[in-house]
Amino acid sequence: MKQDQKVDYGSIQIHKKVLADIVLSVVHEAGGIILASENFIGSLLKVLRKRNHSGIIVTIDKDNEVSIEVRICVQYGVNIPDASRQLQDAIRDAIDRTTDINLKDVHINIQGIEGGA
Amino acid sequence: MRVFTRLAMLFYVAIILFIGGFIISLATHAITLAEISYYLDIAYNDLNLRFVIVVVSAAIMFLSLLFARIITGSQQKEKTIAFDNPSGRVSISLSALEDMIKRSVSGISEVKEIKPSILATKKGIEVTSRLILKSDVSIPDMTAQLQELIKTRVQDVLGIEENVIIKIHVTKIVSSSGKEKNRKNDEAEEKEELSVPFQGYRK
Repeated sequence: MKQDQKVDYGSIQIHKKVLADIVLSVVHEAGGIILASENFIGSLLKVLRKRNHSGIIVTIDKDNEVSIEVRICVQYGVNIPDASRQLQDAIRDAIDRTTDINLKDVHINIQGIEGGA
Repeated sequence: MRVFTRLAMLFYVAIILFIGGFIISLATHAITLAEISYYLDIAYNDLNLRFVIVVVSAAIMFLSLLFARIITGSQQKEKTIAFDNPSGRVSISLSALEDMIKRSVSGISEVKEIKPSILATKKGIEVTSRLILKSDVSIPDMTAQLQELIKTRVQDVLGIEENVIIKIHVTKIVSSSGKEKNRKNDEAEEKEELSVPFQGYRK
């Protein structure tokens, strides 16, 4: 549930939700990309003005390595390979800068294309 | 076939066999109404038995919902195009692309309906579109226009120069609706009227 880091004075635990929050901020900053919140709980959280992490899945494996999967929709006209590469780099950079965690993988799952009619 | 699908099939077959067997037994008088009444009476009055019936019924309902969810979930499992970046994998839902093609083509009035399906093959990305066109349309021109449009849209979005093969099947041609025909006739009449602006003009 939590990423554990040992320091001289004890241990620091970072909750998955913290990582998801950072990813959420990066996605919001990225142009032409929105988080896919397709499920009922996600919509409900949106109505209740709660942070919706339904499109962000943070997994920690046995070796304590962290992987992130982000489900997004892109605007029509966005070059998907470029945008996803930039998003992966931005997420990796933001997580590294904020939590000092080196991510194993950042998977991007594009679930929709907005506009284009 | 997946294990869950087999289990679900077994579950439903068992229930249907039980119901069918019960009805046949009832119809052929293999079970009498008195016997049914006797067993129902026991079940209705015995507290322990009632509790067991509630638990078993709830378990059957739960299993039924679980199987329904698993089966529909596996059917909805998305087809994707994926490529690897140094930071991780990028997968693009093909249904997203199909949806985009539908929306792109919805602006063309001559096309009544389009059902695209996309496959990623060794040759490239294969888009097969089943098309319903309205009448009074030049099919070669329209299909060529659509092929170009779909190809451009898919390449724009994917940002790749990979071969995109567009196959179009015109499955049906429907006649334009009465209102549209009337509108077209009105437009034609207006054009005719407008084409002689100085008729009867004298100094």
